[in-house]
Amino acid sequence: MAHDTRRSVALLRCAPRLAVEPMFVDASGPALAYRDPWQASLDERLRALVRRERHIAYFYERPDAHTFRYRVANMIEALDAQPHLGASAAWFSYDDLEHGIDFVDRAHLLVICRTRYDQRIGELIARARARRIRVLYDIDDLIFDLRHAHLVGDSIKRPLHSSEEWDWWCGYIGRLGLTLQFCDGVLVTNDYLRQRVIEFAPSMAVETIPNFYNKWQHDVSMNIFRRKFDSAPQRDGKLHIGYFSGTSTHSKDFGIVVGALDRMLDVDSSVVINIVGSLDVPPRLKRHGQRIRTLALQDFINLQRLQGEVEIAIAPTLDNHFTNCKSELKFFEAALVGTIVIASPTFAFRHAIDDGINGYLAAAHQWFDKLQEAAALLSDGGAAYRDFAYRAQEQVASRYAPEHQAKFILKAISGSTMS
Amino acid sequence: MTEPSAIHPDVESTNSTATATCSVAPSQLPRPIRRAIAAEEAFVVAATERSKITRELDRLRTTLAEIDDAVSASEQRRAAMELEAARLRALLAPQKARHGKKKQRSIWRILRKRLTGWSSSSSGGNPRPREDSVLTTAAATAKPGTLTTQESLSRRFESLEPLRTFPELRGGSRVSIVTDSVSPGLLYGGVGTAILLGTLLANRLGADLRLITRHHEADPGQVGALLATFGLELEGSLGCVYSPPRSGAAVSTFAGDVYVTTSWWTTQATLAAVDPRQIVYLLQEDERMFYPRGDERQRCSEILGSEQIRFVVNSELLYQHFCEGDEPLLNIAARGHWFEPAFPNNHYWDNVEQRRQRTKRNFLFYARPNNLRNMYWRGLEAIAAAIEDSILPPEQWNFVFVGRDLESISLPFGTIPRLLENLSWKDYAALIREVDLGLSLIDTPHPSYPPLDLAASGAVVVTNRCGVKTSLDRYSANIICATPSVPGLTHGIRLGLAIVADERLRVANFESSRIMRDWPTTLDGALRFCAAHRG
Repeated sequence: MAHDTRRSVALLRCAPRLAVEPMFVDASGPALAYRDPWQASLDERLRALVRRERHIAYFYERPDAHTFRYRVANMIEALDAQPHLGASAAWFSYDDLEHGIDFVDRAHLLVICRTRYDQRIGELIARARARRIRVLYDIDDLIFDLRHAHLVGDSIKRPLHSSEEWDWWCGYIGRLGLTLQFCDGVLVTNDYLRQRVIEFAPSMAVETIPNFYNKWQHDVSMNIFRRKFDSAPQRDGKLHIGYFSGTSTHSKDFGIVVGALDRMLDVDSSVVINIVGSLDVPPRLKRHGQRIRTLALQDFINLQRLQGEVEIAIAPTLDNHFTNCKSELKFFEAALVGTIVIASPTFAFRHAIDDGINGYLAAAHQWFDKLQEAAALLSDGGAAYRDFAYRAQEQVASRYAPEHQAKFILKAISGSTMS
Repeated sequence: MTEPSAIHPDVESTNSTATATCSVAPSQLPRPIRRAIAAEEAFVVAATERSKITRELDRLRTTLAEIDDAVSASEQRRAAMELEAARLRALLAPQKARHGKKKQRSIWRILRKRLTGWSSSSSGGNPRPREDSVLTTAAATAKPGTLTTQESLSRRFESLEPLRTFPELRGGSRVSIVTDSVSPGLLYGGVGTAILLGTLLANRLGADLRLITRHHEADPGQVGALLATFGLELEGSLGCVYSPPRSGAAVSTFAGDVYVTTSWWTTQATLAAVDPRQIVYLLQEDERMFYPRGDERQRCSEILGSEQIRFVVNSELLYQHFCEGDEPLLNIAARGHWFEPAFPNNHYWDNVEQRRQRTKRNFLFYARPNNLRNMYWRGLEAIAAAIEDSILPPEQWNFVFVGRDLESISLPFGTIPRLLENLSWKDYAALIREVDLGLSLIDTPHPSYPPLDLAASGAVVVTNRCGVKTSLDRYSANIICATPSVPGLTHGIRLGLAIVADERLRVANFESSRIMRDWPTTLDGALRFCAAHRG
């Protein structure tokens, strides 16, 4: 595969070098070259599917670094890392359907992940049924039940003013729900979402597989963590607060903390806010000028670098059915690189964060106090901050590490409710 | 185990090293093998190119989505501009119409003159002037930009626009406070009371709390600061929705919502959108008194007279006024409950020690010239009279005006009062602990907070009678209710001074006062009322 290697290297995309001064000095290291890890050809994936006794085929519309990464790629990597469990897995997508759906014949289980129904999916499910292959649906958002369409659209500030916009939005959600209803069981990211699926489809068997990180994320994050804390943390004297969910769909979430951030910027001249993404800086914060920095959206590897560079990562979230269905990945991604997290007490964060022990939980009216509490860890040389970061990182590593997930995945997909 | 073709640049790869040790030149390989290698290479190139194209397509899709968003935003801006243009045309329309009519009349006059001139010359007699029918000469067609009745009403009473809502599928309960704003300047008056009531009601019901604001976006941190001030905690979650009339976010609603409204206009806006049984109107003033007779007052009366919603009334006096005063509202007796405001001991106390150290006494006037019911000008007259009559000699008294929109003033004998505005709540509480005598007027039957603030902090205070408010002894004997004439108020100031001069009496009155000191206690009855009558 010499030629493949050389051509692959030629296609590598480098993340842009950021023009900001280092916070934890040298902790994050240089920008990392990034390439999507899911490059295997169809043949390679077909071979990977049948490598062991139990063959699990995952289907996703088109691979991406969001849902696909967590619910498909990471799952496959976790199963591959535990060969003694006897399961092999591979992913397939719309592009592969051009070559037919014979891959279904080789599977013992088909997991369709967050895929909209159409004639091709119908055929896929029908073929699986014909072969007596169980079909599970994996979903990571409250995005299948039309009764919540307005709430979800309102939460993410989706423009829903015209009939056409409503047609698209309801079509999107409806199609996802339709695929779910044709499956034999459902996999979700947390028990809150599990309850919503049961409300939608009471007879459906539902199991929970929480999100977890992958090996590449782990390796990069460990390097960052070691550079931050192997000796006394080297900092630039500023308190950097980072917000890493920065697309416009999160503007309502970010709105929760605007007042608290404004106050922090007023009372502490060392505070700087880093917003990663395309979120518009709210007018109230614009007066702080250069102390509000916006950075482009990053790939998931360089995002770990940016999270490692700040002292505090914030994850404010509205509190409703939609947001409570989301996972705690914003917590474990940041904790993995030794950054303290403050999050809204939605379901997932409440269950992952022990307030004041491995992170902070802040209700909408408590953000200023919690920011100050977290900032106080950095005083007196930052020993308290270091201890806190170590504690959080250890807990995250034991709970979300890929090497611990395979048996939970297999238990969920073949759990008693699924059989 | 290494994945077949995953490349992790941060982790050392030995792939390229491994391929450099191959010793057979490609040209020396058998043809079938060379063909296979070429086919393999072609396949890899194709796969790589496909991946590249797929990524490019994804990028273009993202760009297209962003463009769609921008177009949508642009269309919204255009729609908003068209709306504004229509509004301006509507404003100009009457003037244009008048101008048009004037012009029309002038032209018609000229025409008529000429026509009658012709007909008189042809008929030979005195022409009978033609009279225009008023009814037929008026323009019968609406000019462009003319508003419909509904549009006109909507513009005139924008704050009455119904809450825009959508159904939410959820369980549990939620208390939603509907108010104009929770800006810091408003937080320790009526709005603060609403938040305290909402918080305690949410805790009582095991509910979440939501602030729905109509004029300004709320900062949830302000709620936190208020609750911390009064030592209260919200047990559920807090959400904020900024939903101005006609724009902004819509409000999700479900059967478990309880809406605490804070004015007649927020009540009307909410009534138009939700089940009336879900509404509790926190009534803290006779809002009819805000208006002269007319449209607003009429609408306000209709809301206050509602027999569909429930009322929680701030103070027994105000409740009594609604039940027995001028233009009583018997529906409030049937569907209402009252409570007394609280002034917690940790913020309101009598600093006797500090008072002993003062060489001059402090006089405070609650001064809001632009809030008409606070009768700033009558208060000014009374103070000036008291100074002129040596009731309040400036050599013995410091004068402080605290309020809003204050302008410098020179009282008799060149006495310049200190003007204080925009005090933080803590600074305000510290200030009133230094007051010996206060004057706080309000032309409503509600006692209002400043007299109670002052009395709860050991001061003697003069306020005015109004309707059923003839005495505030029920709160404290250190509150003097005087007739709001200049002689009446100066007499009240004299009575107040007598108490100030008698330290034992002043302290005794303070200690025997019946001002409530704890919000959970004072609101308990109202909370039980709200919980028992949930829709």
